[in-house]
Amino acid sequence: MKTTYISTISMSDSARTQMMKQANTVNTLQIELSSGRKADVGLDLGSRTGEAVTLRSEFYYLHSIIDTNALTASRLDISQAALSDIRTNSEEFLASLVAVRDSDGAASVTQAEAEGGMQLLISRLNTQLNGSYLFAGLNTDEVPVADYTDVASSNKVAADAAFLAEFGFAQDDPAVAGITVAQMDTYLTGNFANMFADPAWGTNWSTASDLEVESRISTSEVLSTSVSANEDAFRELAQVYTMMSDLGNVNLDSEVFKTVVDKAISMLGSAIASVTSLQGEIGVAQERVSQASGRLSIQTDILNERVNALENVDLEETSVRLNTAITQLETTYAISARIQQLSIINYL
Amino acid sequence: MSLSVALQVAQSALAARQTETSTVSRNIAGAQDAGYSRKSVLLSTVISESGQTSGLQVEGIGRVTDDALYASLLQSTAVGTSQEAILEGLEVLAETIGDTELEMSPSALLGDLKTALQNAAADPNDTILAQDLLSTASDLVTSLNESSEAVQDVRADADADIADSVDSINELLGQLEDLNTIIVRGNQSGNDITDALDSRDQVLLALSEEIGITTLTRTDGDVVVYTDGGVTLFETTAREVSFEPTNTFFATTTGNSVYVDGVPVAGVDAIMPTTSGRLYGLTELRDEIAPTYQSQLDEIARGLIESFAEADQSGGAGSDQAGLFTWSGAPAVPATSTLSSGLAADIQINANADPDQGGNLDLLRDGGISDPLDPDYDYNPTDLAGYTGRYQDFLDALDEPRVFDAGVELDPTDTLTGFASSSVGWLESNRQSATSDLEVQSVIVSRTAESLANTTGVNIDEEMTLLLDIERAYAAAAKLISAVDNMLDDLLASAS
Repeated sequence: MKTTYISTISMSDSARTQMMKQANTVNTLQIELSSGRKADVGLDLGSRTGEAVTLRSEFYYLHSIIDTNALTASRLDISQAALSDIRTNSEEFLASLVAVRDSDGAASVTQAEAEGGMQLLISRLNTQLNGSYLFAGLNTDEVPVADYTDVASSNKVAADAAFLAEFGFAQDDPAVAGITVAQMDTYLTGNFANMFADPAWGTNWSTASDLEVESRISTSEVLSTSVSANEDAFRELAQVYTMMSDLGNVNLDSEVFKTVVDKAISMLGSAIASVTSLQGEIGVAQERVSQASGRLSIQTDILNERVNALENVDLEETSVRLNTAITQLETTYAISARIQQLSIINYL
Repeated sequence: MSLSVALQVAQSALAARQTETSTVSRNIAGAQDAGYSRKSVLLSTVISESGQTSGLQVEGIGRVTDDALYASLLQSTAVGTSQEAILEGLEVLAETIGDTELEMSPSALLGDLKTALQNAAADPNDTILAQDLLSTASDLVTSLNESSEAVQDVRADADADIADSVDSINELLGQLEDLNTIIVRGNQSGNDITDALDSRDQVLLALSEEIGITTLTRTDGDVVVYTDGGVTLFETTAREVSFEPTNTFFATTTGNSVYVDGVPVAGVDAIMPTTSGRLYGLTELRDEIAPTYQSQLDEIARGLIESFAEADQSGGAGSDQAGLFTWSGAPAVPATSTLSSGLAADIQINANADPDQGGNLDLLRDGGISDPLDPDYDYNPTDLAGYTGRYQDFLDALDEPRVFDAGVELDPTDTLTGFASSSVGWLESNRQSATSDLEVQSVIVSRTAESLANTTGVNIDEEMTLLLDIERAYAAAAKLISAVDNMLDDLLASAS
């Protein structure tokens, strides 16, 4: 009977397989130590690999939302600044109107101011960012508001035609002095006001769309982030600036001029209130975008940590394990060399 | 006369020692041969009719065996090779996922698509962003097409390997037949058949790598081999193992079965299926694992087509039509919640949205990709440059729960992104468990082989010490002969 028998082949075989196994471990650990990540992430994570892939794409997706939020925020900032300009300017104009209401000869001063105001309003409403018009609603690739100072412009042509049709002469005709308060009143509430209401506004003044630009500011929040040039506030302002600059104001009878100014003052009041509320809306949107970005950056940090926890190795631990593995391999080399030398032949 | 008996005994001892020496030298020569079992000389004492011992007789050569260990080696080898075949296939399939860092799996590219959609939605009038979205979408399509191709390559390779395996089974069975005949004849005529037995064991071991077997030994050392499913593989003569390889695989292709003696033992219609060996691993890979992964890819493709499908905007009852992602069955959308086999290979980018193919990038934003001339499917009829509704729809659709085919081993109600990531998890978890199974199995195989080698193998040191004994015994016998010779000389001298 044989006890504790070992065959020569299994002695050399086991030394060889041990060496291969340990060399393999050293290799894997060395890859992990140099990359800081698991040598074969999929093999190590198994069913959780899907999670790692999702976390990574979610990380990039949230980052892209943070990037697009920056764009949205700058659009909102610029819109806010434009609205602020428009409001300041109209407040100043309101102050001058109240001041000059009862003084004669003020028409030329207010006319110049109204022309300036009109230019500012149009230029602000036509603000562009990155090739898109901010106040154009969804129709972002067309200039939203026609330039009233251009005589060939559709809104100017329409205004001239309306005046001519109402009174039978043009605005610069000296005959405007003959317009009565009642006539002016009829015109202002009738055909003149109609120019700033739909559908005339859409044909002559604005190409903007009523639909607002929608931006996704987080994975689930979609927010309106634009103000359309078709808002009532802008129509009223356009109306005020038109009536104060282009009704032949200088030549108007002083009573008629007063009627026009009164109308302008009351309209300005409501326009300013509306602009302020638009500014409020934009402000709320700005706040939500910044909050969303803040939340997203916290989320991306968490995702990042989670991906690291899944895929990375502890460098200290790996380097200790690598050292141990190398020592072990060296010992195996030394021992197998000695075992190979052991043979009874040497002693016979 | 006693002296002549002594001489005869000494002579027989010399002959026995010489046989032993030759056996020791055979053992030493075979010491490093994995299949070699240690040989020993079987001796008996010759007793004359008068009850006297008249020397030693060599009865034959014996060989050390351990049937139980050998049977378990056959079995564990078969299990090991089947797992090895499966793991090799899974590793190729896992290349469609790659390292998570490389972001090349369909699941990761789906994430890229969301990012591109979000960027495009932020500035819908920017053609560069739209172009980026289009190229991300076509990357995704390419990834699905290539993954599907990789899956079918794995199946085709497995099929070719099955053909190779069947060839080598037939060859091994041929060798087995020759060796078995030698052994049966040798046993009947009393020849030394130990080397033939060693070789037959090696052939059976090689056979168990290809297909799981059980063996039965009958009188005269005759062996009968069955598959682990119970089909006779060898009895006196080798049975024919046949297989018809398939050259090209598509998702809808079914590979042929392997027949032993006319009985299907591996493949979809196996009636007495084998459950281990390379043949089993390869058919499992070809008929189960790879097709399941293909189905998952097909479902991802179907989910994509569905998510990007366009609905009738006119208020009419027009059916949904395939949009940005389309297929050979377009303009219709594939049937909901049912697997459409081979869709991952079929899915493509709609040419109507691709400027390189004469399409219009704006359709990404406006809709109407299915048919740019049909106003019913135009989501943005006035072509407003700031319209983002479609992009938002896409983003919502990717994260909307939808119903997938229940037969693809994944949760059938999931979002598209969730489903794609589960598919990654499914594949990697299969690879992980196959790897650890194989690790365990290879330890079992190597331990069993080691135990068998320790039981039946040769230890050179032992042979050398035996040789010392033999030398001594030989010298003693020789000395005896010369002593008898001297005594006979003395006898003759006194007689003369």
